[in-house]
Amino acid sequence: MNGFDIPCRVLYCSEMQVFYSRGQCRERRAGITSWAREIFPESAARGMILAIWVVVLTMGMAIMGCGTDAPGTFPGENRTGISDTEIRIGSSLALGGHAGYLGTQMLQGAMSYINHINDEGGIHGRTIRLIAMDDGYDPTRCLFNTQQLILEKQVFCLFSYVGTPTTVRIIPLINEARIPLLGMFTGANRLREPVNPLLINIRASYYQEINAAVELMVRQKGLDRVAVFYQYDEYGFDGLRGAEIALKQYGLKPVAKGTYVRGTLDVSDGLEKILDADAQAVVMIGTYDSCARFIRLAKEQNFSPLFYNVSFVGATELARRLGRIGEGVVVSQVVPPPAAGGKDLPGIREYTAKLKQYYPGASPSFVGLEGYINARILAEALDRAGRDITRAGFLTAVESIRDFDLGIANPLSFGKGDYQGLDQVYFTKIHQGKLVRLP
Amino acid sequence: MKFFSKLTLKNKIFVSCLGFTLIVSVLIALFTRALLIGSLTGELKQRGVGIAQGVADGSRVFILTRNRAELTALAYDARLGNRKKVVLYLLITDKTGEILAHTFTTGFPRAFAPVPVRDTEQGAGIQSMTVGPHSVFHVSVPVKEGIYTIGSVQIGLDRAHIESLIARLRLIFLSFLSVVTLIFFFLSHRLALYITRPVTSLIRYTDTLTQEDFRFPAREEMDALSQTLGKREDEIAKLTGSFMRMTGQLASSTDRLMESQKKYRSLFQSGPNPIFVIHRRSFEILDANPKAAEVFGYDREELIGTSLLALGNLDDQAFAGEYPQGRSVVISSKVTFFRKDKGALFVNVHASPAEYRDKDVIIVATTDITELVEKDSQLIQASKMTNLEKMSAGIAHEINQPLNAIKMGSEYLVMMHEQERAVAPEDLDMVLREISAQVTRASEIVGRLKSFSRKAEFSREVISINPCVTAVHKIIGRQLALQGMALVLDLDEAIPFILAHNNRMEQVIFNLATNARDAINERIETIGDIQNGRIRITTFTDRGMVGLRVEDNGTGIPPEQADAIFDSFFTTKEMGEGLGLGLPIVQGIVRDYNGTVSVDTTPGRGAAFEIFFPAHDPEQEVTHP
Repeated sequence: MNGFDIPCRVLYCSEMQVFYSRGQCRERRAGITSWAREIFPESAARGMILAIWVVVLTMGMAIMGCGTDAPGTFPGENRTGISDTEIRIGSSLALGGHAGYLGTQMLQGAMSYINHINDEGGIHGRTIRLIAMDDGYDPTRCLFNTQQLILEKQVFCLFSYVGTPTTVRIIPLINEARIPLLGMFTGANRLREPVNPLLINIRASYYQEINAAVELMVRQKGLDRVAVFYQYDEYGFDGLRGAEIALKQYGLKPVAKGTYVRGTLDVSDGLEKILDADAQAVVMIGTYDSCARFIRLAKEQNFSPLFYNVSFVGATELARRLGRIGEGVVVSQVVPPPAAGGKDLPGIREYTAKLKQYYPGASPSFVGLEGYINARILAEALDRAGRDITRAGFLTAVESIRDFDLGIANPLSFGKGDYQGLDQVYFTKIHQGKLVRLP
Repeated sequence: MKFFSKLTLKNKIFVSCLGFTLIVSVLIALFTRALLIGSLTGELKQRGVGIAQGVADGSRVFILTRNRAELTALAYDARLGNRKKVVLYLLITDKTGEILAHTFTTGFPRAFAPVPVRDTEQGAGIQSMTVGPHSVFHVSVPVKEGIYTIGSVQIGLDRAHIESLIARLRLIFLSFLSVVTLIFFFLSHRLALYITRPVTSLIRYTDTLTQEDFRFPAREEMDALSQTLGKREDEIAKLTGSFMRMTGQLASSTDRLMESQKKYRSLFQSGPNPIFVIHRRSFEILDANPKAAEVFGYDREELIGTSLLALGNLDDQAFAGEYPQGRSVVISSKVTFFRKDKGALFVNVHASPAEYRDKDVIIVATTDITELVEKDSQLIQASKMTNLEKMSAGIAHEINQPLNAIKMGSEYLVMMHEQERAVAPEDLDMVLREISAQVTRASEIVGRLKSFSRKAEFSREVISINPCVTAVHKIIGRQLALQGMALVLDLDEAIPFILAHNNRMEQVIFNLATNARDAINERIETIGDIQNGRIRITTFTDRGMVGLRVEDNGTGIPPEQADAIFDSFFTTKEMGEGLGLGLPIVQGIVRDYNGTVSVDTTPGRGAAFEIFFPAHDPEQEVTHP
């Protein structure tokens, strides 16, 4: 017989089972081999059949093998932005314009710690140089800035971006350049799902914030007529989805939805809709200026449901703008209040002290505290990555941070596949112009 | 083709189905591939130009204001979603060629320069380029303000993308074809089995029938066959049905055949007559029945293989004649055959042609007529004796004449002796001579009578007919003369020989002559016509036949009796005068020697009997022992 004898026989076995299972093939006196010979008495024919099988199997395997295209793969051993003496970090954030407060606060908080580290001699002999570019909360400018940072400034990683639409806009660049982005001042779900190791989130997500808030409203306060007021962009949509998901758990839907366009104060249409629906509570996903105006207009019309804002609103600034009218407005937070009431936490004391040291005129804020925490994690990860740091090593270092005590009674943990650091949500209420933590 | 023709029917169906599918698949694949690559490449270029045009329209105002952030955003927007796979890069230049925005996130490729902007350029320019590791279609679209170009949008279309697209399509297509082929593999195999399994079953059934006996159907195979066919009503089922019917018919006809064979076999075995199966040309005995062995005194084994001609005086020419379809033909009668102990037998031979074990044969049936022949001879003898008896007076008279002459002579000599007279020597000589002559004459008469009255056995000898006529003349010529009748002989001296026997021929002529005499006597007695009687015997040759005619001028035969004269016991003579066997004996003898006898008569004027025998051809002696 030929050299294919044995494989041929094996193939015929499987083939025969097919035939037998289809029935009708009655008993055969002889065994499998003779059966095969009966069908294919010529070895040439058998060789042909074998070839067909091989082709079919190969194709099947080829089809299975294709079609995977994962976003944001792990970066390689890239040392861009690392010199002997410094590590270049890039940031694009709103330093002016209608959201300028957020970026400024964020940057001050972060720089308080970075300056401190640099003053102490840097990390592994390298100082951290943070290149911050103003995007004015404009996704287009953020995109351009990011390209500049990556290509022109040759930064090692991106850090402390502010805002959902802006950050979401640069995800393609991050994936393409395989550059890590650590600490974003946004809780957008788009940055968390699908899980992308290049996007390292420190704060809790909007979903988490809104979910806790809806629980507070529906379960604790018994309010079931909930409306949503949101900014008509990625940020607002993300919050809306979070609110809808949270309400759905209680079999509820938003009774009304109002919108406004980013960067404008045109909130009256949205207010009207929510007013008509006679909502008992309003989930607000916006920035401090628009939200403040919404609340002010509502109060002017004697409409005072429970106003709830997510952390991105900038609670301190919101309270300042609302003044007396802000009484009872609830804002969820992802860090403990840095002002009164939080002084017992060592992390907050440290932040307050550092801020006073480097920015004597500034006052502590939630955003600033986030920036500060971001900087601490950045420094920790850079430290853990060692002197021979690479982008891959940096990410591995991030993943190694577990139960990290920031001194805010809220330990931070990352892990393999887990790039969400903090999960706790805090509630604050404006009381007599100040933010008071709800128990 | 040789390989193909060696395949079984099932594999032929199978291989042709599969081959056809494969060929069609390959043709479709080639056709589609050619179509796909061309159209996809064209489509890609069109799409690239479309994207570039869109970006160009959006970027006009930002090029004028040199808003690089917006231009960058536009550029990146062009690569959103799945366009990213097609658009490898996009860049926007001003009219000097300076890059205002681009999408090289990971760094500007080395040795890459945008295509210079030309003021005159109207539409899109497409060229193939290599950027970094990629092979691209570089599409350049001018951005115009009014009729002047203010910049350009240039876009790199990844050829790898389209190639991967084609590769994927090809893969999907090939897998589809493979699945189709696989399905056809199974289908054609099923089809082949569906068609050929009943055929195989039928073949197995037929083989079993052939090996065994198809009158007893192979149950097992038949069950398998009907199970294979199930409730099918197609051509194969019909074929099987007709085959089954045919087998049934064959079985019943075989039954009938066997029955008839048995019947004929028993006829052959226990028949009263010897039957031989002989070869048509060599006359070799192929089979003989037990009766044949018994009659001829041979063992059956001895008979088989010998020639039939060796058994008796048979002529091979005897079998040369025509055989009417399916009829038995009398070949020869009263043929002498010899037993193993040399004893002779007379047989009649009948033959009919047949097929025997694929050979051309003749079935020869022989009837033993020895006894019959013996009886014939006795009858003839009896009739002869009757005639002699009637002639005894004449014969006595005839003998008396020499006796008287002798007496006279001897008395003369006695008287001379008593008287003691001397007899003259010449007288003595004369007397003695006369006495001697008269003794010779008397003994001649006695001898003739003796020879005539001898009982003759049946045999065939080569004889001439003339001496027979002369012999008869000698016996009755004188008597006729005494009755006043003339017996005239007119013999053809050159007459050929015939196969017959002297004594029997003499009997024939004698019978005819005595009949003629009686007819003449009857005429004289009844009519009173006293014209002298005249009998004329003529021998002649006519067209190869030997003829003998006996004419008389007797009473003739009335027409109403002409047909009956050859019947036995028919006689016109008075009771006690004749037995009525004369002419039947004549006819019997003539027929024994293959002759014919006929009569021509005019009542009152006479009758003429004519006998013809075939002339004997000496050439035939060669094959005749």
